Amino acid sequence: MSCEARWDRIERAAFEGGLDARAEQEREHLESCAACASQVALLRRLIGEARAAQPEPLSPELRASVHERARRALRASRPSPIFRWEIAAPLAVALLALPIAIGQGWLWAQGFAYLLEPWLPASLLTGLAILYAASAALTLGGLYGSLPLAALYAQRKRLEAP
Amino acid sequence: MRSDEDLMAALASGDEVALAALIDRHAANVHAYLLRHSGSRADADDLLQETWLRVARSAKRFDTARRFRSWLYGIATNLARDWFRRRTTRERALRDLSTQPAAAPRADGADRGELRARIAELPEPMRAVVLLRYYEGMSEAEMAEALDVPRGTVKSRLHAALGRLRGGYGVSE
Repeated sequence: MSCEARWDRIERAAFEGGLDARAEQEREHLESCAACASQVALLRRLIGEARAAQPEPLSPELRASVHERARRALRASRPSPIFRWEIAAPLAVALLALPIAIGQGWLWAQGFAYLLEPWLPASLLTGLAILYAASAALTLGGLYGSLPLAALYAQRKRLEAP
Repeated sequence: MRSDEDLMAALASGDEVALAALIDRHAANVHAYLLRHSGSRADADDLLQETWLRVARSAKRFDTARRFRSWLYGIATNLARDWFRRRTTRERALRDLSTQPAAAPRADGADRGELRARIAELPEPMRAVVLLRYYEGMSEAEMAEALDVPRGTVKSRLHAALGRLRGGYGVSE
């Protein structure tokens, strides 16, 4: 068996807690091979050092800080039910407002068309009606659409506040 | 006692108690790992906090079929690697600016044991496998998961790292 193959076996035995037994099995070879003997010596020191190096408990300040910051990150990463309502309610209102705005625009356009028909061509009247309905819808949509964004911003600020 | 993976499943649905339990169970070990990796207590403190921030933020993406410990040490190792790269770049820039001879990169290791100092001088990928294997007791499969490399790569890194460390015992490969 090559020394490299032995090193692998010795390493695995050391990891599994059987270094002494493995070294005993390989005693004859280890007495005549300095490279393998040094592998055993190194692993003995590594394992001894690792066993002796027990982790210290965290300082109370660090422990508290880790808990607090991780908890805050967790809260910021999850959508709360309140948050969903804050988004959903204005969106629903915006969706309802849209057909109302279009309908209102259409009625106004009909009224103006009746009044302005003798003076303005029909194509211009149609264009004006579309423009009016679209601007009313955009205004209302923009207004209600900004509410979820404001809610999102407020929610994030609240969660990230110390 | 609930397993780490069960706690992660609870954490994914926003359970703060599960998060606290995981921190209490693993933070001291991860801190010791980061301390050995970076050699600086202040940096280990920062890296530990960042590690748990990432755990909290990424809990939903955790695959419960994976081992939590490998995932956790993978996050810590990636952060330590980025920190090491930043530090190396900073030191190189300072060396370029300075007319004084460069300071030894690991002067703070002088009071450590000889073996620990030698581990600290290993290249980062080799240092990671030695620390994970002997100090954290990870199997090759766990290390491969943590470092996101094939098992063969873990074995070859470990082999190379032991070869370097063995140099200090009078015989090299």
